[in-house]
Amino acid sequence: MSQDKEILLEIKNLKTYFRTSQGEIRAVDGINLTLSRGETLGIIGESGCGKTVTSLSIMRLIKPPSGRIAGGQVIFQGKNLLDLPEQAMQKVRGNNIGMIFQEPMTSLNPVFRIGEQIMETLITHRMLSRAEARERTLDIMSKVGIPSPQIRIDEYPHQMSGGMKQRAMIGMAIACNPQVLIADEPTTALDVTMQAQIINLLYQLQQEMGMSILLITHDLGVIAEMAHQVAVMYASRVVEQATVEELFRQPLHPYTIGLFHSLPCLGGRGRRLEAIQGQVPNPLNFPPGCKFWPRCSLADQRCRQEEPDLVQIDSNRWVACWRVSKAGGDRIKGLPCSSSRDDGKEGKVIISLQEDSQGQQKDGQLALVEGERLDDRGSALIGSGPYSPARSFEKIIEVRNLRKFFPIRRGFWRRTKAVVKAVDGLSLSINHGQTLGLVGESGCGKTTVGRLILRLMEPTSGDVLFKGTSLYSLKGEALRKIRQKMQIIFQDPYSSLNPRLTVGNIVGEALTAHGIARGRERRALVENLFAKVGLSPSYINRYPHEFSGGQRQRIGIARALALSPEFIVCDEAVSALDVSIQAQIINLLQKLQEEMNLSYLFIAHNLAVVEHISHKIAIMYLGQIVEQMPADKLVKIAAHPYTLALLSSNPVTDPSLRGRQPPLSGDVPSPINLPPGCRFYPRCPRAEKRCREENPELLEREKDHWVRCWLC
Amino acid sequence: MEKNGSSVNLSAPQPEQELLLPQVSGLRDLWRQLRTNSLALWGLGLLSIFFFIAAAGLILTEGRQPIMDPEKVRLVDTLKPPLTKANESVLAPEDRPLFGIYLLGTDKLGRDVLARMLQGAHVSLLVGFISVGISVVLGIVLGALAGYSGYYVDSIIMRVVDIMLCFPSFFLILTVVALLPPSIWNIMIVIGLTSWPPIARFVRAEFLALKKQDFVVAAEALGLSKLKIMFVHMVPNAIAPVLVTATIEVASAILTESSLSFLGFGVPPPAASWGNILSDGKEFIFDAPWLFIASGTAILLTVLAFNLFGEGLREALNPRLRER
Repeated sequence: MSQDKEILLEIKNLKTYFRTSQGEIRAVDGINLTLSRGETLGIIGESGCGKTVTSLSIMRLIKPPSGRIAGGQVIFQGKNLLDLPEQAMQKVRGNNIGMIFQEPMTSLNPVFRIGEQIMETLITHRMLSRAEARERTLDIMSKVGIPSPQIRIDEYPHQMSGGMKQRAMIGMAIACNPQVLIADEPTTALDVTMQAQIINLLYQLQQEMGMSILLITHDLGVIAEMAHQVAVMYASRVVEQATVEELFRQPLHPYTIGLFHSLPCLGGRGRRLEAIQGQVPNPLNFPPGCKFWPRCSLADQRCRQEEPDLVQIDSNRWVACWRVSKAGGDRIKGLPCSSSRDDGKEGKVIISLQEDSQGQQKDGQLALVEGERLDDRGSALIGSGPYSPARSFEKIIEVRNLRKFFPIRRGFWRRTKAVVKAVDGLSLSINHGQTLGLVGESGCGKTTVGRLILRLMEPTSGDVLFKGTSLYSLKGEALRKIRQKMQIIFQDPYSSLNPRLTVGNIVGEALTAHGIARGRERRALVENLFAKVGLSPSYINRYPHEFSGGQRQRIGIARALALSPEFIVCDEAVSALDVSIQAQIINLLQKLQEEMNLSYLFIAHNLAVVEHISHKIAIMYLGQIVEQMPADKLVKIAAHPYTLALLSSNPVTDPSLRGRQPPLSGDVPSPINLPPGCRFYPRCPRAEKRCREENPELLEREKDHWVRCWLC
Repeated sequence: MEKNGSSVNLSAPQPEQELLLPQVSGLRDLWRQLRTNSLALWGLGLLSIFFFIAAAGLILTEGRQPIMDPEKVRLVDTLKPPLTKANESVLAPEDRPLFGIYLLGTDKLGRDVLARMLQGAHVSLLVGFISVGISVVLGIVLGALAGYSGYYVDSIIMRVVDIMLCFPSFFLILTVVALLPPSIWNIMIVIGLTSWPPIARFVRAEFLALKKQDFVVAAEALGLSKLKIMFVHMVPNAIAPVLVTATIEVASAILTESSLSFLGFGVPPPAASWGNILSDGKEFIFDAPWLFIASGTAILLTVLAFNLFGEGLREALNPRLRER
């Protein structure tokens, strides 16, 4: 690390262990980190790698009796925080080191006013009187971008949106001008537009106040936007550490490279994602040797037996891998998602990837001891080569002018006081064997559309045709028959499986219910389905809680496939997964589509993912489609201001592009009492008088490109 | 079957290679949680002893020629303290207590208190389990219907619950028992019919939360019938808090039966229950304290055991304490 910077926080050989009934978990196992003044240290890694435990250990918030800090030092301002008495530590927390949590919904206390919660830190640590604290709180609230703080200071958390709550949370953390701010997944629970705003806010605050930030995230984009130094954590240890520019120019550890390759990127359509196979090992069951070897295509005998230490290979980089040597050479060429490159040949990666993906796999070489290629994984990848969709234009689903209004009833007689227009006049169609991506911020009615199409909800008006048959005219047996052909995959791999049934029963139940198969025959079918989604059939007697998130998602897919459907609604099916698992599931969905000629409605909020998997994309805002176009033209022809805003909110994995202004301010307004004109005009940067008065129609601008905007 | 995940050979895509941790069955997991809670273990131990006693009591005191006759009146041996020898000169051999000793003394009619306590043990446990069984079944069915169905069914069932909760249930039971012919079965049914509303509320609340879970939506999308969704998918997920409440309700049913018997509305004489032994003992609190000590302690310990075990179960089943 650079010597000229003052080191503010130093973590030396930190070890945090948890005792469980099944043995000791080494959640953090000997990590070393340094945080310099005014800089941001990003810790990246998938869930279960020990990132959060690291941050909690710094604050000494590990709860005995199960958890304990087993060794190491956390040196802050010359003192080892781990040796401080509890009272002295309380003075450090919130005062010298502030902390922001992931979930703004649960990290604010719902029974206190926002102002009270910010004032509390000031009164405790700064000994201010209530009046002074209130004065300071108003300052802080405007500093973190909460509009009209005079009113907001007396509001309760439930009156604020998720983004506002996260701003208030940041306000609490910075109230006492801490030297260090620990941000634990500060934007994960937020929409992309809000994420861009919060990243920008943290960036500005850092410039103004000179804080050091310890940023914990699983999102390479967030790292690229904010971090100066990056530490990659895998299975309780740091496996690679570098400056952000170095890391994004050439990641060296196979895990880091795998993370980059798992990420779908805007404009990178047609490429199969190169997922890291397998999953993060269970900490009770760590493999011997390097913990990454079971997932690593380069692993050799030594990797299986000895664990590599983190060694410095050049001035700005440390790597823990036996196969990466100090002798440089030409390391890796062309990361899939970055837009700038030092050698001119690969300068236009975003656009040229489609043609290049074969060739790129050939050149992608690492500076490895024996010069093998990382990409040369053979059968480890689920299918390789560019993804080629089946061509078909027959419509399987047609949605006509669908409306769903939820009445809000109040008072004793439950009269309708207002109407939430969750879906308002939506029409779309999905072709056989194709995928329609539906994108929008949360609260736009995407999920409602999915449920309406499957008739899991009754619409207020409109119709859905499945292969020409109107779904809403069907009843009883006919409806049950057609339901077999339409299935759904959910976002949350935890709540979507019944915890009390074995996974074999979960998958096979529908077969019995519809009289398709029983007993041994059913078992054979279920085993077959397990194999199809990449799970070992020997697991069918296990219960859901024994599986990891990615495996559960596979089980959910197997359940959806059980009745051999033709159409599947994927409701944020990959949003809750880690990037490496997300890539596996996306590849699986694409493979199944090719094999079984499935059609998908792919609902998601991540444009890059949707663009990657879809044939057509529909952008939704407040119950209406605002733009629709073929997916491969998204980057080129997007015209609606909302689509453009979503595109530029998507974090770019390129550190040289940081510090951009967030394209949208504010939140999605509530769909109660909508404005009369264009629904987007209150947030639209280009809104004119006409936009305020009339809502535009969805018009075909050119072939297959529909836009709802007066200005396009 | 469980552990050979990697040895399965498939032509289709790469199966997951990682072995899962060894399988832990649900019951064994529950036992592991429970084992760490020493109070719950005490409760469980006491309960096992009571079950054993009740079973023994059933064998020893039932039939035409019981080994220990709880109804044999011996006017020569009234109100004898515990461990007194039977009056062998007067009593015929078949009238003597087991081993010729009154282990827990006798009551005002010379009946063997030990024999009566043994008979009462199975009456008390039976009342506890059958009445709670009735209320649990009713509570689950009505609660599930209310939680899963729409607005109208829900309103009707919940208003019935509200009305039931308005009555002081003990007086309701007293009234009903006074009108019906005295019998232990009537008491069980009446206790069962008056104690379901809290359970129905629990189940309804769980169902309202479960209804929004994705696995229930998935079951609907698979075209499963409503009954199957309710009773196969949702009830097993709502059962944990019910089980805990039920355990504690058993204790309160035993108390209710004792109170009824104490007031003279319970198990009709000459059959014994802990409540009417206690009731008989109240006239002789100073002359024959063993009467109320024996029955009172038995009631106290049983109720305590059920409560401790119920609390332990609540902790062991609490999903927040268990890893996902």
